[in-house]
Amino acid sequence: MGLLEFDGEPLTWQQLQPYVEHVKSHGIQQFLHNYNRLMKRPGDMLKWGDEVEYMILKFDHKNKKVQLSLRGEELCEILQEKERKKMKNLTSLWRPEYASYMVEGTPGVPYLGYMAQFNVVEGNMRMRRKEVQELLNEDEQIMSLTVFPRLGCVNFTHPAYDITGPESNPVSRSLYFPDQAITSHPRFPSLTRNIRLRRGKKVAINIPIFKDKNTPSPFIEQITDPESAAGAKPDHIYMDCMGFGMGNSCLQLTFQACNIEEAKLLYDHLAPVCPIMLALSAASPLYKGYIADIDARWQVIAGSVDDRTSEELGLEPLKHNKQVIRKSRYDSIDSYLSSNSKIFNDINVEVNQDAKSTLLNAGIDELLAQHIAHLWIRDPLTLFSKKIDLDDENEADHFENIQSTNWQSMRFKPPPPGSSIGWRVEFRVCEAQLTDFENAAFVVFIVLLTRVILTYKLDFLMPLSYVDSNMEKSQKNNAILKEKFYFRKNVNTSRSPACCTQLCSFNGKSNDNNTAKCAEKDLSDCCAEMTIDTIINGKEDVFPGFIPLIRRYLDSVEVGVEARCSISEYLNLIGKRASGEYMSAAQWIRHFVTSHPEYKQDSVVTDSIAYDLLVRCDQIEKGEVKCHQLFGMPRHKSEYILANKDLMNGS
Amino acid sequence: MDTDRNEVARIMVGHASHIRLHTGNVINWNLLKKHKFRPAMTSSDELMDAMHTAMQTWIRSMNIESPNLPEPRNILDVSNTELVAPIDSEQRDQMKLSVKLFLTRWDPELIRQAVDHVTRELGVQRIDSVIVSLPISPPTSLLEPNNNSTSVIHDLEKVKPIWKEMQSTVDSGHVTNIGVCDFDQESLKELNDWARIKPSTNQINLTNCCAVPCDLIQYSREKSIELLTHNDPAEILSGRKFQSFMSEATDDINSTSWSPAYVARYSVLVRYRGIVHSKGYLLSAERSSQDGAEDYGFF
Repeated sequence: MGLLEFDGEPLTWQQLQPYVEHVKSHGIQQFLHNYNRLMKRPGDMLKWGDEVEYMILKFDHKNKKVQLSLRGEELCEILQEKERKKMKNLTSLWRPEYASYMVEGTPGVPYLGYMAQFNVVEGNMRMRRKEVQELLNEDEQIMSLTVFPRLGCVNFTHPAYDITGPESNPVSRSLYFPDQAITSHPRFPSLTRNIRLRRGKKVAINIPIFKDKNTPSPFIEQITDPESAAGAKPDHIYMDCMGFGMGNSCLQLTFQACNIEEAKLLYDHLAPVCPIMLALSAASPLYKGYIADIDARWQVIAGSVDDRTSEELGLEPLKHNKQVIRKSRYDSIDSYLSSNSKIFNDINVEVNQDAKSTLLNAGIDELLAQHIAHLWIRDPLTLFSKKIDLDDENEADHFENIQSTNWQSMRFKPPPPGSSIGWRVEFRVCEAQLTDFENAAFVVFIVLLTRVILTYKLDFLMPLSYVDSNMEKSQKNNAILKEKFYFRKNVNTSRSPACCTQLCSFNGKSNDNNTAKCAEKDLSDCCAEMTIDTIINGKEDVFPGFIPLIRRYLDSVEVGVEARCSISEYLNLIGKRASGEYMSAAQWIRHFVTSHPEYKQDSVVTDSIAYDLLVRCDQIEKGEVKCHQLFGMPRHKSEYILANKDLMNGS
Repeated sequence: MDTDRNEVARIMVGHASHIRLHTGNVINWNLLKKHKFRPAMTSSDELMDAMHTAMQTWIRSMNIESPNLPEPRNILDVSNTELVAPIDSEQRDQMKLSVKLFLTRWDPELIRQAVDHVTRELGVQRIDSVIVSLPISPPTSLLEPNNNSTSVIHDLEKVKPIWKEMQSTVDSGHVTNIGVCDFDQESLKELNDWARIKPSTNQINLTNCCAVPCDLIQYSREKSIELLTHNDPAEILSGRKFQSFMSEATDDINSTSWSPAYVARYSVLVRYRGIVHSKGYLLSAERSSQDGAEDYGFF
């Protein structure tokens, strides 16, 4: 959700320009103040939580049409009442999201580090859904859908707005997404407009269309507006604003590490896991009423907030801008953080030199300085009139301004000032699944994986260029079954080259002995191409597999029967998605559409097809319809999960 | 030379009538790597692997320079010291030390022995939880499947002396919580009704974790007994397996005379972080005095 506190009026893009350096340099100061105070923070306990983004759908059963209901803000107001009244021990907390048809919910308090908590996740998610559903009208449903299939099609919102051209939407200048669908909280329209102004034209997102038998070839959309037509590519689905990306839902996970070293370690070792989880959780093959040739939303969002100018894109020689920038401000990470990982940082990382020098001079280690300096190549996109001059020692808004508008696959989060929260790491790639069971499964799986990494001191590091290559592959149509991904062969450290040895013992000391430079040959040697099945389920003599490692870990800790039962179901789901025994959400959606009687094999998802699809999704979520292709019916008795006692005290 | 060490080992073992072994921390990547991580590895496999490693390390590290030759003793301690993960006394409170004690005989003595063995080897004063796994009863008929997933109905009269000893470890301050494994609701109730210090946990086989009988769940909730899961086979180390281990690992001539008394598996968990600090096995095995055993002499 980003930085939501504000004071005063949002500055226009012009008004903001004189303050760009002010925000950047004070942001660094704020980071330094915080860092110095909190760097040596000892033993924080494990705390973690998920964030699920939901959409509100409105069903017109008579006309077989589904629209997105723009009641998100209104609902959020009501949902946040308990928080405003400062009530304690809330089940959930709510935040508005970019689109006004969305709400975002998190557990009321973070989960803690004991095993029984794994049994509470799903129940809490169910309570959240229920909380919102109770406020909805009879024809409205809440859904955890990654991408609304007809986002951007005519009258896809309720209320609907006529769009006659870019001038209908002064903020985004979109031909498809009404400004009224952007949450009115000043941050969001401000971001939208300023991204466009910085870039010099509106964003252009082009996604390859799925070519079916009757799909026109080349596929070219009818676009009259010249700027848009210039931005669109043939054989691609064209989308033209932030809403197409940030109006999608995802599943995020944040956990607190025991200290900064552990936070860096987890950040590093989870980075290679990102593409794997993106492929596994893929749930979005449909865009703007068409079937795409991708299964996941990542590049769509990357394109939707891409504020790079033509110079920064390398399309024109550098005159006004400092450097060419390889990625959008929304994309995968560009460097590892712990000193031992240095040799795997094989991507050219663009940095803000001023920020880097300031950080190095203040004693920040090289990799952390580089990381922050890399985030600092991005300009602030919003600024509020009363939040310009701040108390750097006690406020972190300028830091958060830039930190929160670098949307990356992992986020390294320093402790906020004036709080007892510690160093945290955010895992951001997962796509939202249809049901709470699936969402809980993905969340629990990742948290368990972190415990396994720390317990067995596993090493997943590999050259970041390989991770990037994996990210590209992970979004492809049916990547789970069709693609192979680079992954580290030896996750135990003794047989890998000496320069790649593990760090971080239990008490947080890092081992700097083995940072000697490796030969190119050694680096690529440490990886092999494997299928998702091998990585997740293991293969004899090839790779241990995440799930067998997790099972081995579970045998060594004390787990209550209810938690163990839930965890077994979750591992079963993940394992079978990986092997292909269950379909991924994306493949299932694809299959539903392409086998729909009204589908004309032309890659078009009509209102009627979308209606049937979404009705079915809703039925599956409610358990009214069994969907064995997606997952077997969980065997455990739901009483274990829904008992209120379990929810509140995690027994 | 290796053969010399093996010979010394054989002699040491030959002289012993009681052997105590500590595997050290089995949670280390060396072990994961060396045995190529078989996903289907059971705790028996894990124990056996660790026992072999411990024995090999002991033999390898033996100092055979005369006059420092080790003297053969009645009780032989084999401890894989290079793998033992120390528990910092300052951090002891942040750890939870749990022990599962697999008894092979209905002998309360073994409980005290095992608790002492653990506290001594790990250098701690107190164990947070000890769960006792009672000796398996032989199958009553050949037709009964060797089904390790059914909980056994325990004869309370047999359990009582064992439990009394468990209680005394709590009385003496060495153990905080005591529990049982694979008890069904009836046996659990009988024990709970009778016991002075109530069981705080009942560990059941995880193959059943999604189908735990309602009565057991209900009862446990009422009595605040934690129902935990385990993935251990009914018998973690049979006499026969131990004997062939002794024969393979140390060339012991009279390996068939050995019988394991207990296996104590400990696990040290970092509280509030869900990380396992260490996990290992201690075992104790005995043999009756050897009739007609060769008299070995070093010199």
